[in-house]
Amino acid sequence: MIPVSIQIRQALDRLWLPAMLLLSIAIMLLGWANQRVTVAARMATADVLSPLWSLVALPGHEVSEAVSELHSIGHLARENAQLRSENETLRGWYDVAVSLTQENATLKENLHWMPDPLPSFVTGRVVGDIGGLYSHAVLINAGPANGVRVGDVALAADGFAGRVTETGVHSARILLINDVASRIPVLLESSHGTAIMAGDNTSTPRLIFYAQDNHPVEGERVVTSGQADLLPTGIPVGTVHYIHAGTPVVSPYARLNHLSIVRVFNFETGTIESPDAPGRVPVTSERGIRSDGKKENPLDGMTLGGVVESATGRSTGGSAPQHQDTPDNDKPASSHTVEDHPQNQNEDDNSPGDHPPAQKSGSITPRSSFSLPPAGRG
Amino acid sequence: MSSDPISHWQPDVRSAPALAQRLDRLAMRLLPAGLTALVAILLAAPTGIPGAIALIPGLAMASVFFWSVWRPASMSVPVVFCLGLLLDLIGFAPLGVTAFAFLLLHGTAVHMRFGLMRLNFITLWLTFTLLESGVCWLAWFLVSSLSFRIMPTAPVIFECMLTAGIYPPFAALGNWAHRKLSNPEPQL
Repeated sequence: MIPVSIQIRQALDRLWLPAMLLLSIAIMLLGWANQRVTVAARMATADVLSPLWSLVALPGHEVSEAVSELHSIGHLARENAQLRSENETLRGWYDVAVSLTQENATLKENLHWMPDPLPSFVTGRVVGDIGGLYSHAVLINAGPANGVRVGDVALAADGFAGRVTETGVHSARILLINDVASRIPVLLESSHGTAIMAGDNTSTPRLIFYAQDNHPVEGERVVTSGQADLLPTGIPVGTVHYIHAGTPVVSPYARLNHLSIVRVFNFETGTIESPDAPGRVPVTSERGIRSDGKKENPLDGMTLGGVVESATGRSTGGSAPQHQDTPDNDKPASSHTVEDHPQNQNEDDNSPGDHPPAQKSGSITPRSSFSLPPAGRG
Repeated sequence: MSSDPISHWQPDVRSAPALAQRLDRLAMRLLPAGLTALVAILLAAPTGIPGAIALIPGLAMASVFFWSVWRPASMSVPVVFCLGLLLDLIGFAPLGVTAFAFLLLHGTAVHMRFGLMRLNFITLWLTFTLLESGVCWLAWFLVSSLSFRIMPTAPVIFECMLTAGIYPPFAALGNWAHRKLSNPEPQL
């Protein structure tokens, strides 16, 4: 130790507190200004601690399993009777499911149904409950090395649990659907309404932004609606429940407080590219070079004449000079993509005239139903 | 050479402690904070204990306050800072918020130390309750302002009450440890 006088040592001791306070304020501001540093620091910590956490969690799981087994021994007779009656019901449902599967297969065969791309998935154990007072998130022991990417969908055994927000080296953080930062577009199955499921840090996320003339119905199923192009359609989320009149919430199928194993699916929804919409006002010009090599004019097709002409199917008589040097005059905006605006695609269905159905057949992407590969208990 | 050997004897010079002795003293000094950090890390594991996550800040606050009052050498400013930063890294709160709040709690406790040590337990407990409520609300304010969103207040109230409830058993345990562990405070 360096010999210093008592006075100097006391003065230095007194300086520690303000210095550290300033340092913590600096860290706060740094983390606020540059989120990436915060995320990197967090995930580095989580990577270091996740083996320890999984080690700690293992006996915990075993103990809780043993306790629940002891518990179930106590109610064996009653449980047996209950299981018997449940089994009867399930047998009926099994018959229904088999016949429906058969019918579905036949229908799909007759319709030349294009199958959904099978999502790839990895399964990971929840090794850390790293939420806090103001957040709900879990850490799993699978990372980019196992194919987990930011934005992937995490499903528990019974339903939608959350989405991957950050990845470390061999761990990933999943923001649960009841976190205050979570907003998921959902579809209400029996009232056919849409809504946004907003987490509020309670166990039941709220439903907001539903149509005022079509309220959610108590007890109806809630599935994801895939509208934001981030999630596939039809992942089961939960059921609607009214805690007060006028405040519908979703009680999730997934037991968010007791997640132990989650499956992380990569649906690759981002790879679906919308086809060109001829005659529409181009919104983005992603392909700057045309096929014939000329640099594209970004204002091509944005003149009123071009839009009117293609929308109504009648020529406005040479008011748009750039059309004359285009060989395929009926497709002025054919080199544009509109993939950022799916509503343009929907409007095409209603627009009259010049879109032959054969041209659009490629745009029907079979994403309407959701099916998972069978998996064991999660 | 002097004939009187006693003239060389300097009573002010003490022999420096050996390395093992120093390590031992350092371990004693870091034990309370180390145990607190360990418990916080263990509680963050999904053990299935209900409300384990909510216990972490409460336990850490009780530990910071108790050791700051009774043995500030064990809960020094850098140690408090590291503890707060660790909780920030484990949790989801913005980095630095817990560290800042804990440093303020530590500073207040050390400043009022000699007054607090004279109080009886109930008064000390009430003082701690006041201080930790302030810390909880400060953290709430910082998190809300850093994320531009008013965070729900129910968890803060729950946290305040939980922390106040944690303190008596923690203080009992701490008192026992305080008496048993050898004191790393500089003995003057």
